Amino acid sequence: MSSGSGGRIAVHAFEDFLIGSIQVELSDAVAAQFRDDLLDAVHGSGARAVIIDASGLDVMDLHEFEHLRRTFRMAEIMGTRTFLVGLSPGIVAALVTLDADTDGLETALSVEHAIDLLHAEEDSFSEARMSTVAGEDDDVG
Amino acid sequence: MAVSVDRIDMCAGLRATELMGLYRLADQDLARIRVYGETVLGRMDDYVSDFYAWLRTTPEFSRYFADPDKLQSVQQMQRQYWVDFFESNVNDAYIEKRRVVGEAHARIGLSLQSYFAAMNLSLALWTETYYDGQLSADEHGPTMLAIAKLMHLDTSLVVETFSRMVSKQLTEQSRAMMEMSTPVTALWQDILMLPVVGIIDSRRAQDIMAAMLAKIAETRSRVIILDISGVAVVDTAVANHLIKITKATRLMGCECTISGVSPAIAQTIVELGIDVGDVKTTATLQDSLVDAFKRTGTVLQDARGGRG
Repeated sequence: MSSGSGGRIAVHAFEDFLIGSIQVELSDAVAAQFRDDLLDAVHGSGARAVIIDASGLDVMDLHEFEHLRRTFRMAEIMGTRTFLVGLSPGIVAALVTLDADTDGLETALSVEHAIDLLHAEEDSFSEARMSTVAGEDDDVG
Repeated sequence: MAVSVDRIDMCAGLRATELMGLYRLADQDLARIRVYGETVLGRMDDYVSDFYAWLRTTPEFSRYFADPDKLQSVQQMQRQYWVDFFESNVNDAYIEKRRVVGEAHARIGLSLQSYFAAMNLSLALWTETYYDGQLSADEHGPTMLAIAKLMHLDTSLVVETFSRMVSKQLTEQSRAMMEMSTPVTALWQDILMLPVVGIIDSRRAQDIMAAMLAKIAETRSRVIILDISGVAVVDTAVANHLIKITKATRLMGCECTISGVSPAIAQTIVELGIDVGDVKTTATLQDSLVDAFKRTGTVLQDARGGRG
């Protein structure tokens, strides 16, 4: 891994979600670039949720974590939900030991899990409406 | 291998000169012991037969010395022990030998009671039974005192080594227990469970957390149930450990519910003013399981057609 010289975190749109995967070390430059890219994407797409996959990371310090959370809060203010998924046991143990503030942070095991959770919420939300439209047996997902 | 590590550790302890100072053993004392040794060492065979005559009457004899070969080698070691004693060449090698004796006692599990009784008998045999009265009245007292001093030094080394080895065994055992006591099991598709029995200290909390996180990563489970019905005491420290654990599993994307909250535990938590935050707790494992089924979208159906 290079020390953030050319690293960039790509953000892709999928259904009405934005999905990014962190594969490089979150140096300040990379994190700032990622913040700009992500907020632009949220602005342009009106995505329902942002899902960031950190499973490619072996380490994350408190500084990097807080940077990420600030970016998440910005996205939330713009009206989207944010998920941090795929944190490794090592990173989790470190964050808990360092007493990182994780209140209100939405997490999932993987991108797939996060999408499942969002779909499940959507289903229960629109169950009433769905039941009125009888006859159609469409599999969403 | 563990023993050799321990021995290195002990060499870092007191050295021969420091120990002699501690037990007020002067070179003069050692000289007196040497002189006395010349007169009594000839009775070594008597000593061994008298000593083992006594040892045979103790309950521990048949347990440790039933094997004649073993008895032979132990007797040989014992002869060497007293030869060393009356040579009174107290240096680091001597100290080291005494520590090895302590280790040997600890390893076979001989009680300290028996060890002290044996040393007491030996003292009486060497200084009374085999004393032929040839020391002058002026020399007798100081010589006996010198022998007592050296014997105390010897005894202290053996006891020190003994207790160190025993406490080391205890630590190892409790560590083994800890490792055995974090059995994270898959209860259902996407549902893990860990029953905690006993005491939760910070060390164990860390073990529990590590075991849980590893299993979550491995199985990709979405819910984990931590059953604390077997936990002896829940105080502020334990509650904080539990909250930390739930926080960690949540960071991984796995919901943690704590089941088995007894009335006593609930009372303590409220009385102590512990803020459990948004940790999901239930009274029984069953409640947590039902909740877990809901979260994972598992629906149980009764074979007779009703709903489970």
